[in-house]
Amino acid sequence: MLLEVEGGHPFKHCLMLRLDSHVQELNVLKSGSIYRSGEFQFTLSHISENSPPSLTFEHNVEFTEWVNVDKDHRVRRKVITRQPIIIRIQSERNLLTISYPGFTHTNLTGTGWNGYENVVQNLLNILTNELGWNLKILPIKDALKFFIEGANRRVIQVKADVDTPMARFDVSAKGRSINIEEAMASFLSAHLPGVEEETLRAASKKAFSSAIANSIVLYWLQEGLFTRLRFWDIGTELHFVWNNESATYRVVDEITYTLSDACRALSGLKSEAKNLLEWIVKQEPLNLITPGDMSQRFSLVPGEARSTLLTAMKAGLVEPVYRLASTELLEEIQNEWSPDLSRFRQQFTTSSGVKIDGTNPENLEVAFRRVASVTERA
Amino acid sequence: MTYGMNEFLRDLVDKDISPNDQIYDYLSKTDIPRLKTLLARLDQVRAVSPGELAKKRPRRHKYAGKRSIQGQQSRLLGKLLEQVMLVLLRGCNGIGVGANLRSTTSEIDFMVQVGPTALVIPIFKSAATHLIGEAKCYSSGFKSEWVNELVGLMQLHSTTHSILFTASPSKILRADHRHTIQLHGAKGDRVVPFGLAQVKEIAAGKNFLKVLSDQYIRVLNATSDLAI
Repeated sequence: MLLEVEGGHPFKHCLMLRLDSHVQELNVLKSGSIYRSGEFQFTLSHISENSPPSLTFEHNVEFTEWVNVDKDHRVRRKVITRQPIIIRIQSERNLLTISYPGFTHTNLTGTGWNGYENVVQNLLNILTNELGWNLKILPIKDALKFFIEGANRRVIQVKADVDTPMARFDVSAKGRSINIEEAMASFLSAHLPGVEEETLRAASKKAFSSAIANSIVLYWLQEGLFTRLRFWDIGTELHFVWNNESATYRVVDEITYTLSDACRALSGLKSEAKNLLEWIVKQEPLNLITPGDMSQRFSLVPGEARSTLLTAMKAGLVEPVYRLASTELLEEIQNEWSPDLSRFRQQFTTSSGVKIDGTNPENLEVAFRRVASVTERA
Repeated sequence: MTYGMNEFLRDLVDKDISPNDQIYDYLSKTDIPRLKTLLARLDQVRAVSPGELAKKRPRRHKYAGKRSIQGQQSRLLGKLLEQVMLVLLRGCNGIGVGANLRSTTSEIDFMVQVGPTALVIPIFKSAATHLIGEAKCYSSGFKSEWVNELVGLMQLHSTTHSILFTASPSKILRADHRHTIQLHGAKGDRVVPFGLAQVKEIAAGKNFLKVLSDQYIRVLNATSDLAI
């Protein structure tokens, strides 16, 4: 029961991977089994058949701490702590998330400041070699380009540690509403009077996206929390900084699904359609995009335009707009596309006397429009 | 071909996208003046002291004794709470609400039938077809027995989700109450407590479906700030 409860709450760190194989029935795995890889030993302590199914592995970590013997003396004592690692299997989304508390002090050999990467890598070796799972890295860094380049209302980049051919930059923006690109543009624009700040902002975004990222920190606007991303060669690690938010899988899933859906949208596109998300990003702010228009333009399979636009909406690149499904003139309002759904929650009368019930969803239609940044809207 | 609102809501459900505040506001509009009137009446009836009233009433009055006045008070409070809950539920698009239904096994205060449009709301999506509700208007504090009884009713009526409306004094639920809810939840039976604290948030302008969803998320995550 306790392990079931432990498995229901996320830890600070999360590694995301694509799961390409159908995972064998979990009932062939045996709770209590011991697996070894490298210098680590993992025990499969719990198998949960809840939705989504999950596995709890444990391993021991040794560290030393000072213990006071009396007021004048203290001794160093070796302590062995249990470290759980929860693996959540979401086969319908081809997504595997590995959640763990991480550690900041360890005497394990072969560990440095990236100590836990070694631990997780060995666990992944067990999943791939002994359990036969087919795991791949998600192109999250590429997917993030769509969030960060151009306006979006989902996430902003507030810190980045990047390598370029000539220098290493570690940039942090102040506060939660300013991203580093705006900060960089503001920093330079004072000394480049002939250059518009918008141009500098766009250049900063491209520069940071193209550089080799050691780590970046994102602020998720809807959830109100920070995540630090590190791009390991085994996958992308997210470190959630919960602040005053409750640590729940609901929030973790919102963020991991947004990132994995964006990755899936990138990888599932026909090469001749180039990149639908890229096309959406390049649209002028407040440009209207309908699924029908997009399908025609790129000769997409049925449903693909809607799916991509919903992914873009989840990524904060577009917002839904609404209007009544009628071509007649209305007495109450002008029937134009509007993001304000509440204006349709009433009864309408057309010029020919026909009543339309705006509270009935059957009488509304939906399209999308490219979001404007805060400055553009102002 | 146009993209209809119903299809949009279905796609939000399929892609597991949480509805935003706009959609909550569209799908639920509470009659706030009526709600405030009912809450004021609830306070008025609660404020009555049966002992004092018994002294003032003539002996021939139908409810002259203290006990009969207490009984009358309880009945009125129960009816008012039911009215409050109906005002909240009937302001929602996409659900059908039945009150005081008698089944072959028992009587239930509410049954909420979930329509396709309502599936975008997390609790209705999890309930899938329907959920039941009970109203408890006691002046005593929240009791774990209410949760246990409601779970029994849920099993009889083939539902996994229910709403426990209560007019008990507003407070953060005690650990033992939260544990009871969590233990039933671990087996798949979700009871969502909904108290006067939540109703007053709605009377102050918050959206009912949003408040219900927030309360449901607290139940799912067994957070320590689950309150009524």
